[in-house]
Amino acid sequence: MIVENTQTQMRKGILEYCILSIISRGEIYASDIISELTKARLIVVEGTIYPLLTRLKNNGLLIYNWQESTSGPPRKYYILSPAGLEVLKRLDTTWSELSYAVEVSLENRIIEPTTEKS
Amino acid sequence: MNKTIIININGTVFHIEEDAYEVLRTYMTGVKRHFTYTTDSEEIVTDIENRLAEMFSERLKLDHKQVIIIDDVEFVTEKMGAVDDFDIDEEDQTIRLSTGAYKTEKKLFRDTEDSLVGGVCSGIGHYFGVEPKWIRLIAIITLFMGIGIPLYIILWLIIPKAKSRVDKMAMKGEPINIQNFKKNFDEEIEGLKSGLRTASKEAKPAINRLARFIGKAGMLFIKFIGAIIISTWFNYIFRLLER
Repeated sequence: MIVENTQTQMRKGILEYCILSIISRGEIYASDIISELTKARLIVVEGTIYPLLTRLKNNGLLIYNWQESTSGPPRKYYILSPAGLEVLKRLDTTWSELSYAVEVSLENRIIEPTTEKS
Repeated sequence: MNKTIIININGTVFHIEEDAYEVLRTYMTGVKRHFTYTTDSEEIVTDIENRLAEMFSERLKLDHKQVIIIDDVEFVTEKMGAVDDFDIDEEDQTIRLSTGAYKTEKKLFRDTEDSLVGGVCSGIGHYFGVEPKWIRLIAIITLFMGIGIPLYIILWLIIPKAKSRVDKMAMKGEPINIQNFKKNFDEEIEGLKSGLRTASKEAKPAINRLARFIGKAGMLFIKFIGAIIISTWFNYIFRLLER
């Protein structure tokens, strides 16, 4: 239970960071974000991303605009707002600090790769 | 040949088979419930609906089809993910689960597949999770109290018959999802097959069947008379005791 909680906390923060990073590359459609995440092996179902995007948008980090689509209803394409860019920069700093911390903490530890699926 | 329904998902019109519609509707109800306590639930649900509509359009175009069938719904909802998997935060889920929002509601129907007369008793049995024989026993008791027959007729009239597979699942309180749908469908096919088999066995001369019917009816009549005798006897005993 404690393990799961820690895993969730880790994934949650990193998922948001990854999503902001993906969007920062250029305007993107929600389901393309999923494809990118899948490519990065950060597997979530599509249903996870809609509430997350709405929350980030309402916090002023994202802006979207509608674009006509040939296959169905108009699509929302997301880009980062100036505030979002600011947040991403700060997260970049945090991440490099964290990744350094992890790197140093794990030094001389041999981690055997496990094929855990979750 | 299947009955189709026309639905409108945020402005896009689709033809969808009845079974597929029920599964989709249940899925969307689940989604809506899931986001009931979330701020901006409306926007999130609309986003999800739009995406589902888009995936349907893509699939229809790809296969040059006009009607959404159950496989399409299965594919699309699988891509969107089960509602339980939406949250990465498990704590949120347990809170929502404990509110009991996910329970499927049981509905009262007449079960004409397991019936002696109109399926009223077996339907009530399903509703309360009791074996139909106990309800039938109560019904027979009320029969002798004099209110049995009119009560039965009233119930027969007001309780709808479980027509579709969805009705049957609601009657038994099974959650309406694709797994259960398939299970139900398989059972139905199995029932149909065995029905055909017995039908071919029973293709005997009509006179034979008539004789058997009279035999059965006679048996029932004898039982009925017996029951009346027993009940008057009980009545008699009660009277004696009351004195």
